[in-house]
Amino acid sequence: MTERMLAMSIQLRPGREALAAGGRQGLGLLPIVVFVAVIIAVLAFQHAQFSIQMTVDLRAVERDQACTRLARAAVENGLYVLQRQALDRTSPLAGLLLKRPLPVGVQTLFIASTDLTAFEELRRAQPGLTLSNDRIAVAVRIHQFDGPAGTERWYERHGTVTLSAELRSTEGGAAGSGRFELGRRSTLSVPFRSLLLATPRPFDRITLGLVNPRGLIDSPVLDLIRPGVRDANWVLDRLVFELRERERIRNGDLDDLIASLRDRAEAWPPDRPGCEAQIAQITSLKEYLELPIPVEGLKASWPTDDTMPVVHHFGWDALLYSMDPEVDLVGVNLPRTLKRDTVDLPTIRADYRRWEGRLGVSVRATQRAVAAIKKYFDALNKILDDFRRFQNGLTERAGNEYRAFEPSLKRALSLEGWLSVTPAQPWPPAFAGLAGLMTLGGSPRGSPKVTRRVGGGDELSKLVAGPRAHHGIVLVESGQPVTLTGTVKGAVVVVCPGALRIENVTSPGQLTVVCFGPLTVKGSVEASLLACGQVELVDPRIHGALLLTNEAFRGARPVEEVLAGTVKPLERFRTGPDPVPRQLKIIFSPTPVRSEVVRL
Amino acid sequence: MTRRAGLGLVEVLVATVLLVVLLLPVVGVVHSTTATTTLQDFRLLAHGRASALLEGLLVLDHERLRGAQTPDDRGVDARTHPLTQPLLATSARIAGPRLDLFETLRTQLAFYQESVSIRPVGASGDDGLLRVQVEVRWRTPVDRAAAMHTLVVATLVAQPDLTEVR
Repeated sequence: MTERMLAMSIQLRPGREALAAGGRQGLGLLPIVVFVAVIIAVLAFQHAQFSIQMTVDLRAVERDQACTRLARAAVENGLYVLQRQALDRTSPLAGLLLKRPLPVGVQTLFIASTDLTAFEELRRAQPGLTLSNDRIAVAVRIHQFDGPAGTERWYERHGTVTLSAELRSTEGGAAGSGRFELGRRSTLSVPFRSLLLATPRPFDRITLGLVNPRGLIDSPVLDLIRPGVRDANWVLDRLVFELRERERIRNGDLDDLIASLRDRAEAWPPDRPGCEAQIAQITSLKEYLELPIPVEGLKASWPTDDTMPVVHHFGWDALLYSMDPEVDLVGVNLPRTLKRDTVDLPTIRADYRRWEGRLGVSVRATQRAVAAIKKYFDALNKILDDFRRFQNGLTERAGNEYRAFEPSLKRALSLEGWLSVTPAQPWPPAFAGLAGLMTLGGSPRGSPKVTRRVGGGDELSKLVAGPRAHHGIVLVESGQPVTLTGTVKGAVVVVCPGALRIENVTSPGQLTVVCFGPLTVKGSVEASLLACGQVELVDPRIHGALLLTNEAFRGARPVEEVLAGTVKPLERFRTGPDPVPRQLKIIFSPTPVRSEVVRL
Repeated sequence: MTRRAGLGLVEVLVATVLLVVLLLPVVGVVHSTTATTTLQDFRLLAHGRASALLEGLLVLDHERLRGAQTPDDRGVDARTHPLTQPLLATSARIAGPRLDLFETLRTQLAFYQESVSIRPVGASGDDGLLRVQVEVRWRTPVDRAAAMHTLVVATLVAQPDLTEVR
């Protein structure tokens, strides 16, 4: 039974007997086995092929990504090398960017693979990736534009550097292997600008500069000399008049008086001793009234020729400056010295007026009168000396000479001048806000010159007085007063529209402060200070330079208390004798305008 | 009644043995390629994870990268690094709403260990140029090797404005 059932169940192919009896013909067992085996083999082959293809594809993806990453890395390394070269004024790149005149067209230079050490190390760490080009060089294309022509800042160029690196990889390393070869080009375009990180010429050469300091000259202190008078020129006129009067008295009135006393002594012998005593006093007075300067030099008018009188009027607009190796600010503090020397002037003048007519009346009266006249003319001498010391201590540029300085001064002391490129010729006032948008033909990133903005004192100190050196123009955007103290290692210009307190600052690099709000300076400060607003100098020792405008003398603080301390120039803060300033730095934009990797 | 002839037991046994003999190498190939495919799957996934972490780091500015340097070249666990931790958390949140996918990922991702290294490679150790590296290590269920698989992706990041130098 079992055998029969088994036989029936496997009747896949009828036997001859069955075929002879009309049964259907079937397949043999071997073909079926072979057929099944083939099908499974085909499926297995497909499976294997899929796996192999996946391996190949994954390998290609890995190569592709590695090549792309390496291309980007090469450009990043190139940018790093380029920026370091740019910080070095002696590097070929800096020479190319600062070359005069501006080269025509696009300049190209290459960063060799020997300089791309980090990239080469990264490349060696990719054993699975064979590059066809053994030596990768980063090409640098420089497209630059000149700065604002016709200004002292022509050297402030701008432009774009484009770095590109090509990498080719071939499976197995053989070039020209068709589809197994892949190439990538990475490109990075970064705007740059060459900026002066110092006080602009010619003001870098001065120790102390006072821009049109009318508040210092025409101060309320003059009220002590003549009540209601605020005009120094009027005071000078009056002073010169009174001193000339002294000459007239000396050579005329006193001689007459002496002759009269002699006559009286001869006419009335009992009076002789008294007259002789008076003659002696008046003679001593005459000798005392010797003018300290030739009377020809006593002209208060503004000179019309090259001859500068001993004292002169103050021009309408003037730049007063000193280039001395040390300037004592108290010494040029005219209101302070005037106040010191005129505090008793009303009393002295009243005394003088009371006694001047009593010369020769009696011995006692003559004695008092001589003393009062001497005291009064002593006071006038002191006032004259104050003006002379002030005028001799500072070089004065007024009139046309001041006009020549004026555009540079405006650029150096305007917020816009530090924040963006300003044109040689200013636009009409209605378009003043657009000043930063002009003279920028072909400029890729507009005109901003500010390299960093900070929101407060902590951020400012961390950036410029931190452990790292920072180079650039830093704009302080803070509604609160900001304090800067510590060590500034980099070459940095701090532009502060608001209040700034600078205290005990050392600057191994170069610190320039441009402050448009109230500026307080205290302690030892190494910096070039350009103050466009009010200042409070708490007896500072400034090493660098100090440039003040008239705003410094218009605050609530008594004008005689504004100037205090000393200023000593630092040679390294100056821009040097070369046509291109020493502190010209090439600054790259933190925002690339283009970054891409393309297939080759 | 007609008697129909069929295959004998011996024939069937022979055929079966023949089939088995023929299919043995095929099964071997299938097993091998399946293992290879699985390995490649894991490697592909590792690539995705490494690239995602690296690209996630590269969108950060240089200052943040500089502030998150690792103590040595071996790097630190990406789950503990301050910059990659949020990236991994974001990936998990994206996968979270789809529970099945999340479970799948969780199962798969449990095999991976990522580490991140950010090191200065500029001149004299200057951190104006950083090497950012992500290393992914994993072991697969079909893996019999003692050592873990490793994938390293790295690139360089230059400080975009090198106005700050040591």
